[in-house]
Amino acid sequence: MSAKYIKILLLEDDPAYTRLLQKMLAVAGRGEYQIECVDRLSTGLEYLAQGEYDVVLLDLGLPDSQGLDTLDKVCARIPAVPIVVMTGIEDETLAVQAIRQGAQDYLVKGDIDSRTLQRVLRYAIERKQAEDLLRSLILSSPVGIYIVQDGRFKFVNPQFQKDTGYNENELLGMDSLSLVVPGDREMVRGNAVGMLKGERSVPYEYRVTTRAGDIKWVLEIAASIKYGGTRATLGYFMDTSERRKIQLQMAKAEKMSAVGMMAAGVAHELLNPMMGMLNFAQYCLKHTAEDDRRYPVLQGIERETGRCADIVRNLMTFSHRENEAEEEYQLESFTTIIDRVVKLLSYRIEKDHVLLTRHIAEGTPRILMAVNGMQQVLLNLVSNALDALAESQRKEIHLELHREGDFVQLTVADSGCGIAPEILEKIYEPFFTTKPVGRGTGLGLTISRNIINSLGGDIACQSQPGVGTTFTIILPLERKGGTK
Amino acid sequence: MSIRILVIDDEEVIRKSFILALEDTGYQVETAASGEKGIEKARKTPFDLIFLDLKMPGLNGVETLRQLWKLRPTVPIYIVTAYYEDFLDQLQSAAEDAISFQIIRKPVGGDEIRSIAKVVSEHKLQFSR
Repeated sequence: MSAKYIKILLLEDDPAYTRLLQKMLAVAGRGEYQIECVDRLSTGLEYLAQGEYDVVLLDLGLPDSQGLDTLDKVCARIPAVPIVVMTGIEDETLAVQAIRQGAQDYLVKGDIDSRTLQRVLRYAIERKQAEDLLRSLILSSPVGIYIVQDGRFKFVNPQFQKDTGYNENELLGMDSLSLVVPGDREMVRGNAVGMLKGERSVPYEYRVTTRAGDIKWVLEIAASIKYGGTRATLGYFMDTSERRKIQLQMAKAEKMSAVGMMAAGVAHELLNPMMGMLNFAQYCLKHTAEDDRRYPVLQGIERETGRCADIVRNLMTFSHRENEAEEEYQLESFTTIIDRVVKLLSYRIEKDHVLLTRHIAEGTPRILMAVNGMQQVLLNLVSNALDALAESQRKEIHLELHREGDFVQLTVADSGCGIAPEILEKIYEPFFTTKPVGRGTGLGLTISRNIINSLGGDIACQSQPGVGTTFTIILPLERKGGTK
Repeated sequence: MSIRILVIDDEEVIRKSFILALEDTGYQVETAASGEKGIEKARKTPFDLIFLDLKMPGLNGVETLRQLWKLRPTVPIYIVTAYYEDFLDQLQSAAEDAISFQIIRKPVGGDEIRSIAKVVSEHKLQFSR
């Protein structure tokens, strides 16, 4: 308790009774109790608003408030202070109800002695503290807590409701396994049984379906308890979806950097023999007549060796060391880069009868960028768009550039075949390609994203199969962290 | 005009590539399998053009470059490399010391090799008049 003495507020309209209680406490406590008395609820509420009390002694029948309503009003004002209600001998049912509604204890008028009074007051204070601790442990717990009995939820705390998306009314009585995704139910049942039998102590992870239909990963630990006199399962439950996502991303990043390191090493080793193959084939070509049927075969060797070299060079760009070492950042306008890329691809654009339109908003500023890198990004995106249009009736590509706050936004939209949703998240993964063997290295978008990220920007893709794909790039006008 | 060309590379495939690419051009091609051997040859013969690998056991390309440049600072030297980033600092400091060189990327095809040789040969012709 906070002070040396217990501070009591007594709400009682019978002056004789007030005096009696004061006397009892004075005799018993010898200065242990400090009691303040008021005879109206309105005055009592004012006192409670101003002072700090350890316990409230409350007569439910006051001139300005009667019955449980009185209790409700005091509870609402001071949820943290224990309340002991006082009732007449004929009102014990009311007293019991008062306890259900938040009172700690009750005293029956005319049946109070000094020792009972003291005990009730002290217990009320202790019990209130214990209850508050328990309540905040459960209600404010960042861990979901539930109790299941006979396979159904009997208790759920707010965090559990938050994690599952269901409210208390929906959960209570619900089959607890119905939250678990069907494929994990057997495993969850097995683990829970193992844990309850004491055969297992390690938490287990499984997936649940939330009310909104999302799948979440949760980590659970369970214990066997008694609830209302019968066996029940107490479960602690944590949403680990976010953590799993981060772990997956880290694993992916590790994989990518490993690929990058390997790529640089392998690339170097491969280029020497490739140079040999290229020159050997060219030498044979030089000494073979053009009408010799071996001539086109040798040309094939020359061409394919060139392609190998292209793949290797892409890999080396991907390993990114090349970029960092080589690329100078400079202020450049996107218009220039778009012009150059369109020019580079003009042959294909015309041959495939593609309508390429562009809209560049006026006053789009030049930005600091790695020009070659940016050019490669745009080249990759437009080439991809051209590939996507191969089978389309309507062959259109639209480039759009405008300023968006502190960013420049560039979109490349095509009316091509689109990307299936299940593939969409894989498009930036190294070596992922949907193009026929020999058409793509599966590194174009990986490289593009690396370049964009190194410029402090981001790339996003929206696609609808059969309708088209839009890539959006945003780049900051000013590069964070200096002017490198 | 006939010129003398030296190819320094530890890989035989690369030396052979240059020999084949320059066959029947009238240029004289010699090869060396290491920086040390290349310097040895350059000491004896005044080459007009040198193709030089970077990553070699023993004396690496940049060290070889510095010695070749000391011998004859006017000879054009083309560094032929797959991956020069590991040598970037050394190359930069060589450039700061006013040592001139060009970098070409492997794989280098016959056309490119011949066109470099041709440029050097025409240049020599121009100055020999």
